[in-house]
Amino acid sequence: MKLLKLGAVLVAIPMLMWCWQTKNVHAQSETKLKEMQKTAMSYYDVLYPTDTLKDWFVNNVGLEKGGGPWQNVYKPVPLHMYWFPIKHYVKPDGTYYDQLLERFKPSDCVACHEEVTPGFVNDWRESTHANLRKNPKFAEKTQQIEKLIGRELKEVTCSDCHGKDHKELHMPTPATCGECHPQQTTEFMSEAHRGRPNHIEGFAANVIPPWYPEMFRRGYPTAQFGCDLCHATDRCNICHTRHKFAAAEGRRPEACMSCHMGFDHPDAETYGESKMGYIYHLEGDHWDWEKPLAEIVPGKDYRTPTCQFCHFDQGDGTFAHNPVTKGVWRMGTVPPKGIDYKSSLKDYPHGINLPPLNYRLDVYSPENKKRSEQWVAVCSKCHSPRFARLYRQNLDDFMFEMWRLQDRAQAILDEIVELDAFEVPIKERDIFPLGDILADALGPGLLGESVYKAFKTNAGKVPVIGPILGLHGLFATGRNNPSEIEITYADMWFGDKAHAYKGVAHGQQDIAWWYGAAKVYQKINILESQAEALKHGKELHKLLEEKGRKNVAGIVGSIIGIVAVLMFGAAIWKKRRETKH
Amino acid sequence: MSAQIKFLFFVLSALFFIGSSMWIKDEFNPKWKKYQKEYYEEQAVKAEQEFLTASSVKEKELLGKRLAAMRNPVFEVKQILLKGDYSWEKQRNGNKVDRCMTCHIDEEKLKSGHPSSRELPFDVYGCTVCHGGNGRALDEESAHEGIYYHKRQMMQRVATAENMFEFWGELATLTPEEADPNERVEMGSFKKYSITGDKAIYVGSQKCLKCHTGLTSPHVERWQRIKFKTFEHVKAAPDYIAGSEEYKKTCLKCHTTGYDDTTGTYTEEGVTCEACHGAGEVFSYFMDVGKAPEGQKIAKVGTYGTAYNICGPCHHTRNHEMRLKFFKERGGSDEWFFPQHTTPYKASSSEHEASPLSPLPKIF
Repeated sequence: MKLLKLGAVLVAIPMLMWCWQTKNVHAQSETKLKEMQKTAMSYYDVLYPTDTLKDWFVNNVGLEKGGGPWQNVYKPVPLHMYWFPIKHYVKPDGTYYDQLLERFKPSDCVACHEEVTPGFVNDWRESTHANLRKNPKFAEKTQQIEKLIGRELKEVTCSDCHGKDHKELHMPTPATCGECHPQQTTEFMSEAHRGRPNHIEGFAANVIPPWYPEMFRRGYPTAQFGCDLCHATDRCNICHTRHKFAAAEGRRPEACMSCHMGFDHPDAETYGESKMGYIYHLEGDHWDWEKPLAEIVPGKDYRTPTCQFCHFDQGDGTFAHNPVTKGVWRMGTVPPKGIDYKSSLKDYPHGINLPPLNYRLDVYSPENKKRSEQWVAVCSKCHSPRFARLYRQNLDDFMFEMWRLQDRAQAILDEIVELDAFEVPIKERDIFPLGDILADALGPGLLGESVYKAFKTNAGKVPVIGPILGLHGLFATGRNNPSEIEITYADMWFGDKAHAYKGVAHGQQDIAWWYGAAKVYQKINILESQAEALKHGKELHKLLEEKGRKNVAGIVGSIIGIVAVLMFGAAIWKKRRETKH
Repeated sequence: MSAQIKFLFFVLSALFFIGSSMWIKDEFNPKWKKYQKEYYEEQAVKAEQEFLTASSVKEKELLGKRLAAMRNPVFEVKQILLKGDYSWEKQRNGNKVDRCMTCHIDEEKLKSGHPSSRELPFDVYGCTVCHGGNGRALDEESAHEGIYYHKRQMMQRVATAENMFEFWGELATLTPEEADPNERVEMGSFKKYSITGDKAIYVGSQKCLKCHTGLTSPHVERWQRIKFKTFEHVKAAPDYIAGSEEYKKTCLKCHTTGYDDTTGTYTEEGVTCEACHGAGEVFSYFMDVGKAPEGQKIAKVGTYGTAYNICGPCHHTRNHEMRLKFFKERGGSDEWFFPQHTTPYKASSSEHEASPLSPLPKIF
């Protein structure tokens, strides 16, 4: 009996301790979750805290004006209400809904929409939102969420996200998702700490660059499918597509690949065609995608990393919906320190004080060194740490070499600008996007003294080349602005360099070389040829002009001469006649 | 004398004359003067602008003085006398000086490019300690001999542990002596700087543990048993929760790793590897690239004389006195002050097992 009692006590004490501890842990995380929920639900207040910013990015203005600082310069096209609903959404005309609502209750969305739009209804039926307790894991999660939001959930249905009524219909934002999924939403929001480029400020990055409204001004308002579709990234369904919203889907590389591909960031190609990608293509279908990233054992669950497994890693075995914390090279578009630039790149960012244009990259700053260390740690999950470190250093050195080449290219262009040797003189070319209003709108404080002066004195007729404001060189539509040589250069630094960078970073040798570095070298030669031709043309033009002037002078001179001789002759002849008489 | 010899003499003297005039020109009009001239002209333009926009009389007077100084500048060699013993017997050329700022004269520009100069100011540490080159030389070629232009090139220095010791040693030599004789400046005090003069980064214990869980298992096990949960206890302590930021800082200083007093941030909770072995940037680099013995030389706690200066700052008597004061001031129970809460390794004793069920002391 005594032994039994002792046994009971011995069992009870650890049990009690365990209960107390787990209760404590739960209690702590619950208050934390509540806090996160508050942050997530005030999504826009956190991201855009001032009235001006709200006016630019949050307040709904329908289709009357645009977004961002140039909102009065352009008007969106009707489709934009779906790309950027927070700013431009217009509710459907509501009169006939009154009649509908006489027959249907607001909770009857599904019954009606099953016939009208069966696609998304059936999609939703398959989702966890429609079967909240489809397995024990989700049942437990649902229970936690119910506790958090303080009401019971049978299913998460249309009205939970879109509003109860057609009259108050809206497109859900991350703030809507954040009510039940606060942790995921706040993680996503934390991207903003790192500054652009990131997903969360996609809308801002879309409408702030001057070429966006300029396209509207020049009469191409729907030409920007690329800008709008890619930059509508400030939402959860970019990875967890509607209306299934599956976590498992978000864990697959394809979630990233639909955007991260192509000319400017060939991530899908470089990862997908690398050995890592091919192992994924071969075996990925058999992996357990329901498993959270933190529980993945490399080599066992995944035989090769996915995008998320490396880019979501936050160190110490934790993962978050934030792929930008570890980024060092930032898409490779910011000139790094540590190169003796010969061209105008040495003055970058030319005094401009507008993020993300206002800094030069320091790859060896303490923060970036830490990020590099994190990368080495990530790679070392599978590779030898020495290999990982050497690969990482090699990537840095490779990028420095690419930037030295860009410096060379920039110097070639600088000379052409200096000589004003473009096909059409700078004064006769079209303005830089919004060049006529940039100087007055931003002032010398934001633009920097020299840039301000350049814009102010030439009314925007200034050639802007290279990172990052020279990006318009790839698509602007002005008279000879950009010219061919500028387009070649923009192609090189934005596209080819990106291929080289991503190819090396993701281990795809052919893209790194033949579509990347080799193209960069080629472009240097092409630029040199083009520059020679332009200079030659300029000189020829000058000579011809001189020659033309000479010819005119000759003709005029000879006419004057002949007239003079004739008059002189006439005068003598006259005098002789007079003396004869 | 034949005409030929006369001609030769004439040519040679002409050459001599040309050569010496070139030399004299360089001597009286050196290249650094050009940089100084450019700088002063630039400053004069700036000062003029400020002068024109200035409103108050006092300001105008000051700016006028400055403008006058900028318009009639004194061109001179500028130098920093560096501390240390650089005598002939050590094959060093007398007092060490850095004259870099004779050409690199724009201090504003230098400061904005060197965020670390707040901690390692130019006028004490000079330039050559990080950048290399010859501080005494006044022409570009010899001054820039063996120079590291930027951080990327400085990284080349991380080749052996000796290089690092030399670098840290040099920093220690250059540091002025404190008035307090107990504050001895030694090489170990500078271990926190990496080769670029930035604060060395903390790589995190995960990285160390990856190999050292197997390599030095007794050491790691002991640490895991005793140390790494102290911060859990701190976080649960009522005075930490209720304390002000300043109060919290006094806890963070010893209970976290990589704590930075200026920013109030830390890299890891608890006392982990780098709390004693120092920031791991340099030595973990050596270990990663297959030069473990070099890394070991740096990571070893005893490398810098005694270990007192590493353990001492936290492990001294009456280190928790402020807690007692805190509880007393608020009239609450001071139970939390007593050892079972301050020394976590007692947590597993039988006495503690029963205690969690008793209500926690209230201080509010």
